[in-house]
Amino acid sequence: MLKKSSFLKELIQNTVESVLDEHSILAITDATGNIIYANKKFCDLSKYSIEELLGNNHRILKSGYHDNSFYENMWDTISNGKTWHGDIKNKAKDGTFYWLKTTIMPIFNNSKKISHYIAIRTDITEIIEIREKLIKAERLSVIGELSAQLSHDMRNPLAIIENANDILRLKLEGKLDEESKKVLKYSDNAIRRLSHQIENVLDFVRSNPLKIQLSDINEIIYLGINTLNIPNKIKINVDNKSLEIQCDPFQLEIAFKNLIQNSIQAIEKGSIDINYVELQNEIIIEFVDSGPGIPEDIIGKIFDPLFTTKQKGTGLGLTSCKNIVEQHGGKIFVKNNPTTFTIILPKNIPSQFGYKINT
Amino acid sequence: MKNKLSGIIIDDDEDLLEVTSMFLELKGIAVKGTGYNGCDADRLYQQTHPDFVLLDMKMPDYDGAYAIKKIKAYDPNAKIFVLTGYIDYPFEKDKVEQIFPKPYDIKKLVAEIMQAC
Repeated sequence: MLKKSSFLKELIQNTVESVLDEHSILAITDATGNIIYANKKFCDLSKYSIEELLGNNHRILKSGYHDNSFYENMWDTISNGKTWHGDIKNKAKDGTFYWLKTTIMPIFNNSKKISHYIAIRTDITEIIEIREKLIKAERLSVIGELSAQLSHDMRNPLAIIENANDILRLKLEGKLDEESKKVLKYSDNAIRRLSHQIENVLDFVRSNPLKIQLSDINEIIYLGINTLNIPNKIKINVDNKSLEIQCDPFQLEIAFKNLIQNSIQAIEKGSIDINYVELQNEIIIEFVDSGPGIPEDIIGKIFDPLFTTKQKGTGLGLTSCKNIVEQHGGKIFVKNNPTTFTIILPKNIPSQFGYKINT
Repeated sequence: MKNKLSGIIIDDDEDLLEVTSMFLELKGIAVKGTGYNGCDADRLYQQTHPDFVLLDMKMPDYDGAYAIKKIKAYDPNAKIFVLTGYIDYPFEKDKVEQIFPKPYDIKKLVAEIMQAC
């Protein structure tokens, strides 16, 4: 190693701390993990004040993401006098999570015992999030291609079964007893269920560019409702006013249909109210149902692909819905009491989100 | 009285061809021919002059889009019904009577054929 000149030594001593403060978390704990020094970046990221951190054990930042063996391994390493490197997910005071690339080094006292640990950590939350998104996107694209292929391949056999049922009905007209008729009906229902799932999968994997045209929200909602089987015990109330925006009406119909279908399955009986208002630059559409609401422990996951609580669900309906809304440059969110899905759509879609067609 | 309604059916799925023909025959429609690709469709149309064509889209060698081009060039009044699993398949949608995504309700299909022909 090069011998440091006194100039360099001085420079490092005087400035290294401020550079570190800009770049990293710097923390010192005693031998049991109680924090005795924390720099400003530590406070900024963890959202704790310096008073709250000092004297507290580093455990308060545990996110619950890593299992016990992860921390055991870390403690084994540093308590044996070695340096530990790793990526840790921590939880800030406000409950948000952040990722830190971490190096922890033990410091020895005169009698060669560990007296402190010094840790430098760099915020890598953004990188981890991008990486997770990429992995997810890649996995979904493979699943997407596979399921699209499977769905297409199922259509011909389904058409054959459906046609065969109709032939049997024609040929045996008048000769079928009630039970046999019922059996054919079951078969028809099964075909319908499969077709519905295929449509769901294909809606999800199709990433066609939007075909934007001036369309009436009221009309799109009714088109969606008309293709659904609405049970007698459910009443759907729609704001009956015309409201025109620039959008892809076919895609929005799929999104609305998925939301209404979701409500129908959630409430069994009751009402679904669909309201919309026009603001200066955007419109807000609300789907409110009289159901029991969405359990708090799953409400954060309902838009995730393949997440479903239904035996007959694909876990793609609400994901498609969210994709379509976001493709329009809009947002969708959900809350309970009463169960409300809110969609916000810009009146004029930014040009990167689609192309216009002439109508 | 008009002669018995007649059609040709083109699909590369043999079983589907079979059951579709069977249903049409049961409904009193003559199936004048069946084929497996767009080339068959064109040839059968010119040979049999049917009232309508039931046409699959994605088929090997010559697809349904090819058949639409050829048949419409030969007879601009040809009545073509597309039965397909691929809704997004590129073809001249304005040249056909109707598009039925698979699986389709064959009773509805027959009703549409009767109305159009």
